[in-house]
Amino acid sequence: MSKHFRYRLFDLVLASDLKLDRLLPDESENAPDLFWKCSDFEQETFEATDQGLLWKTAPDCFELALPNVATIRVKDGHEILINLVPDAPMADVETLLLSAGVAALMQQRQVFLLHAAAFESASGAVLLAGVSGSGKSLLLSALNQRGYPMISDDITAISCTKQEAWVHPAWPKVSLMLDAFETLGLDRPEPNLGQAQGKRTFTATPFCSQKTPLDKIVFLKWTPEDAISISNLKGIEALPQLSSNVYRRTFLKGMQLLESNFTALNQIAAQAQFNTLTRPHDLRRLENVVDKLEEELGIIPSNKTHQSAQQSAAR
Amino acid sequence: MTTIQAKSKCTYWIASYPKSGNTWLRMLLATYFSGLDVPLNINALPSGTLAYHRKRFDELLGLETADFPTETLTDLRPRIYDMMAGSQDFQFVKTHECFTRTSSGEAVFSEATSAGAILIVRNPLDVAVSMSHFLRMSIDDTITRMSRNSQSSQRIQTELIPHETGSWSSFAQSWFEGSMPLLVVRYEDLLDQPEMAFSKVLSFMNEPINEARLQKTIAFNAFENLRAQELKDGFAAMQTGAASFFRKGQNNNWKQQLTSEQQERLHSDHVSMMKQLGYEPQIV
Repeated sequence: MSKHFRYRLFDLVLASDLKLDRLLPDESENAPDLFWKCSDFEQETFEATDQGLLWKTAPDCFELALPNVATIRVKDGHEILINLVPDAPMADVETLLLSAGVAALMQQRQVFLLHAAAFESASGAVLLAGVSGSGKSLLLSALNQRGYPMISDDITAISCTKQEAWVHPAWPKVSLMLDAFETLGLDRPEPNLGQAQGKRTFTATPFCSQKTPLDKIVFLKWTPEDAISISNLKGIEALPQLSSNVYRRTFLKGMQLLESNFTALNQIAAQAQFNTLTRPHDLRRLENVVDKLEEELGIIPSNKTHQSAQQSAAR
Repeated sequence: MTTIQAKSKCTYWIASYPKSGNTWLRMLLATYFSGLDVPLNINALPSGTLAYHRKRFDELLGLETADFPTETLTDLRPRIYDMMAGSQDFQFVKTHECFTRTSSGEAVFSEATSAGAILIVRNPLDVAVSMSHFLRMSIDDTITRMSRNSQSSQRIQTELIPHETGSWSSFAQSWFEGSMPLLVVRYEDLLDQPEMAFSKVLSFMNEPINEARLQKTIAFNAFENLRAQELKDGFAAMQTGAASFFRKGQNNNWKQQLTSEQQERLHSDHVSMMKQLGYEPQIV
């Protein structure tokens, strides 16, 4: 394939052999930072330093083979080679690239990844951290409807030093369980991107298009009680939870990235504010949860966003 | 796919319809095999989570399993269980899932690493009462739920990978029709004759019986002791908002709790399997 598609991904320019429906196109003249190429690379094997059921790693190299979809090889923090299975569903290929592929790629670039959704507020990026099923996407969608620009849905990329931490925009798609569409009053979901289990996708607006300083990380918890509460955590208290929400931590060991990840973990713990949000499963309480979050954390949409949301409402 | 080093048959599946004594039996097993002279903490029970908890799968596969088709996941499950086999928290594994097969007909509960299954069953009339409290659902709705393969809650759909519990009858039937060594244990026998019932479990596992250890295990895990622990420390596996997990632990509680109509509904739904398991339908 000679034609490249160009996209934005975590503030980087991606040149891809494959058309990707979820990413924002890049219209700059900048040279690409990332290359995703279709290639039959399976003859060139490498010696694994660690492995799971479908994946294996070596320093600077990661490979994952998903039956009936594709094998991807991620190299040196800038390249993904894609060996497609004939007739593979392209939506599943894209899902594979935008989960495990992106994770390994950004880890190789020593960018810290948190299993979190993120949005922009006037005081900086706020992250909603939790495992699958913790309600990140639902809460993100409700906040997006109040004018907070989305930064990411499931994988949040943070680049940090001792002095600063920046959160980078991913892509503007949110994946939700079907019943959440009704709760949020959203229109019919977009045609399904992949055969996810009971999930459908919608495009978030507004979407944040540039890196944002990290402000807060909120850990999400459910309670069977009908009570909504927010508690503060000191950095040191937050470390275990922060650590347990590292995205695809299992890939790090074989790529010899545990140490740099630990350094980033401590830098983030020293700079962000941490809270735990506990709330009931009842979807009817969603607006109360968002009210509580705004009130207790003192967050508001940024002025610019606020105006644009008001203008949209006026239109 | 990565080649997995062959492991011996070391996984025992503790299969039950919900609220039938699964946790209790695993506490007995964990206590006996620990060899300790003190009761185990209910919150430190190895393999406290279900076999099909999504987080475990996501970690091993390196993927968000929720983002891919159910069939892909089902077909990978025997190999995932092979990977989990042999670890300390994957020896006596809790499942409320019917005996299931992949698209190629292989048992999801991998035969390569499974030593067998213990099917623990309980009188469905008592299950209805217990489950109604646990799910905070009316007894009539609980009876309906027990009669068919009900849709899981959103929480269950997101925290667990897709699975089928079936009805009270079809759950047991699926394990009878499975293809691995199976021992059936009745909750009522475990309550009334714990030494005999638990000895059968140990014999099924080809484990020599240490009488002193057996007695201690049973005493440590008497229902009132587990209930006292829960009252004191709580129970981490409790996520439904019910008042307690270890509630009464009695047989025939249904006689005070179910109307004759409710009893008749349960008999009508499950009479064949009840008789097969030795529960004589009677109306009180």
